[in-house]
This record gives sequence, structure tokens and C-alpha cells, in this order.
Amino acid sequence: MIDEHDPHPDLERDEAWLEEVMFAQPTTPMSRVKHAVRIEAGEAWLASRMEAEPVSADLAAVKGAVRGEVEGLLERRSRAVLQIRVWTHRLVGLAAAAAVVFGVGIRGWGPEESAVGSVAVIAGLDDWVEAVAVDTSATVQEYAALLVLAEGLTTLESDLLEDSAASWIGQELDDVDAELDTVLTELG
Amino acid sequence: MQGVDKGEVSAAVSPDGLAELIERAQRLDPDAYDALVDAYGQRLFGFLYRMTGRREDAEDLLQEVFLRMVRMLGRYRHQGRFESWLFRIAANLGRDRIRRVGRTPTIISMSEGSGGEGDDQDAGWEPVSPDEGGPDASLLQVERRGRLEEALGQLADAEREVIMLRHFSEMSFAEIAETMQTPLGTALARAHRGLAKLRRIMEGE
Repeated sequence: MIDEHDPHPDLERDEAWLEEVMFAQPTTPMSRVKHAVRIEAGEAWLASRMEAEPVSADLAAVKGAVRGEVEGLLERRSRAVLQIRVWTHRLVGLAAAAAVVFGVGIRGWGPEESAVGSVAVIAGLDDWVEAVAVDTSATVQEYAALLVLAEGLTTLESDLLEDSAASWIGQELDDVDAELDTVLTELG
Repeated sequence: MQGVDKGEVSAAVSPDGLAELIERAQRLDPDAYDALVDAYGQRLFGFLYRMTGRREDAEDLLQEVFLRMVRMLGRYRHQGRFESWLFRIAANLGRDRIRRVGRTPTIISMSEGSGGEGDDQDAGWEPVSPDEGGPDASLLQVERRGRLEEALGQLADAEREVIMLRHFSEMSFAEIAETMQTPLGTALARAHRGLAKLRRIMEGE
């Protein structure tokens, strides 16, 4: 019978030799891996929570309510910037509501957020989520809420922009984005 | 065989500390995941790099190993062999990659030691030991590393895999045999034959 604890003497000798010649080990930064792992953990957490029907139902209700508000605005064909800001406040409300549903608070988010900031967030959502995800102070639950938020908002925005009656929203978003850029440039 | 000096390239974790980390990770605590990456990331990377011969492949596979860890950790039952479990995932992924790409790994030249574009400052190689310092010693070590990598590239895939698993993980030959789905005797023979070949190539130059 083969016994690995009684190896051929040459094998032992050669393993000791290898220890000596493998004097340098390749290394690589771990920040990207950690980032990816956190996102994956967030999604795993979210998936586990979504399996619980009540949470799922709550979230669907929140999304439905917000969508209803937005669709109401569209039906009225309002083009006032004020309405855009109401719309973005609703979306920010979705963020807050999602956080409540998931039992966590998302730092920096809430109905008091400025409409301009909210629009910028929506316009550059992916980058924004990415930026928050690398903030290691955020919790897995926050990532999960952000992911669900990102998905919801992207779908919502896409649906709205595809609607010809709502194509003006894209222009408004660009205008507000430009306004924000100006403000940021002035701030320095 | 003790494998890589963990004090140099990885944060050491005590058995109790590891059990606690795994438990926290199973509850999806992000800090626990960071700690596991710190503890095993560099050694896994070293293994994958030596196995595939390409930094880019090794980096991609390293990330995939940890993503799979997240997905599978909920079903993992800790019995003191976490490291074997991780390296088994890495070995399977590495083997799949080599099979798919359909090439024997070509160990890349030593010039890549500085890391790829955009790498952080810690990319590259574990620093040369201070007691072997000096510019001449550094050059010599770079040259030896290049020779070693060329020699590793000449081994059969299975021989290299056994040797690298032994070197980078703390797996027994029985565990390596199980990972590679071969009889224990085959794993031992591959290690014996591969090491002898490696030594012959290195010393024959």
C-alpha cells in the first residue's frame, strides 16, 4: 500500500530543493478582488432576502407606487423642470423606501437630497454605484439595496426614455447634468 | 513541506480565527471576506500564476475563485480543511482555463515583475530578502527566477499542478490526488518525476 507519509527519499530531498529555488513569489493587488467579492456577497444577501416572499412583495409595492407616480406625471405631459424635480424626488424616495424595506439605511440618501444631485445620480448610475461599492465603509446590505436600486432605476429610466412622449426627459437630464457640471466647476 | 512562507505573502490566520472568519463570511460579513482574501489571495495567485503562466489569467482566475467561494460558502462545512477546499476550486478553474485555451502555459518573462498597467504598488514580486541584498544579488535572483519559470514551463501540466499545489497549499498528497482525481500513487509519481525533471533542467544549465 502506498503511504504518503513515507515518501521516496528523493522526493523529500527535491521538495526541500524546490523551497530554496522558489525564493520569490509573484504578487498582485487585492483591491479589485475584494471589491468584486463584496458585490457578490451583496447579491447573495439580496437573493437570500428575496426568497422571503414578504420582502419581495414589499419591494414590488414600493416600485409600483413610485412607477405610478412617474406614469402620472407623464400622462399629464408636464414638461416643467419642477415636475422633473418631483420625479427625481420620487426616485430618491424609492431609494429610501428600498432601504426601509431592507431594514437598512443608505447613507447620504433620503428625500432631502437635492433634485439636481438626484438627476446626476440617475444619469450616471453605474459609475455612482461603482464609486459607492469601493467605499469599504458600506455594508453588504447597503450594496444589496444599491444593486436593487440600480436595477430598478435603470429599468425605469430606460422605459421612460423609450416612450416617445417622454423623450423630452433625456434633454432635461442633459440640461441638469450640464448645470451640475457648471456648479462643480465653479466649486472647484 | 511547509509551502510558501505565509508571513511574507499572506496574512496568517490561526485555526480558531479561521473558523470565526468562515462563520462571519457565511453570515455575509464583508470584513470577513476581506480578511479571507488577505489570508489566501497571494498564495492562490502564486499558484494560479505558476499554473497558467500568465499574470492576466491568474488575476482573472483569482477573482473567480473568490466569487465561487462566496457562492459556495453557505454549503461549506468547516472541518479544518478550508485551504484545501479553496485550492481545489483554484486547481479546477486553472485546469479548465488551460484546457479551454488549449496551450501549455508559457511562463512570461521576468520583465512583467513590475506588474501590469494600472497595478497597485504591491504588484510584482515578493521583495528579495534583505540578507541577500545588493544590486548584484538582485540581478542574480531575477535571472534565477527567469530560469525557474522557463523550467516550470517545460513540465507536463499535471506534473506542474501537483508540484504547485504542494508548494502553495498545505494539501497532503492524498488531498492532491483527490483534487486531481487520480490515485495517490500517480500524484506521488508525478511529483517525484516533475521535481526530478525540474531539478535536472535547472542544474543542467
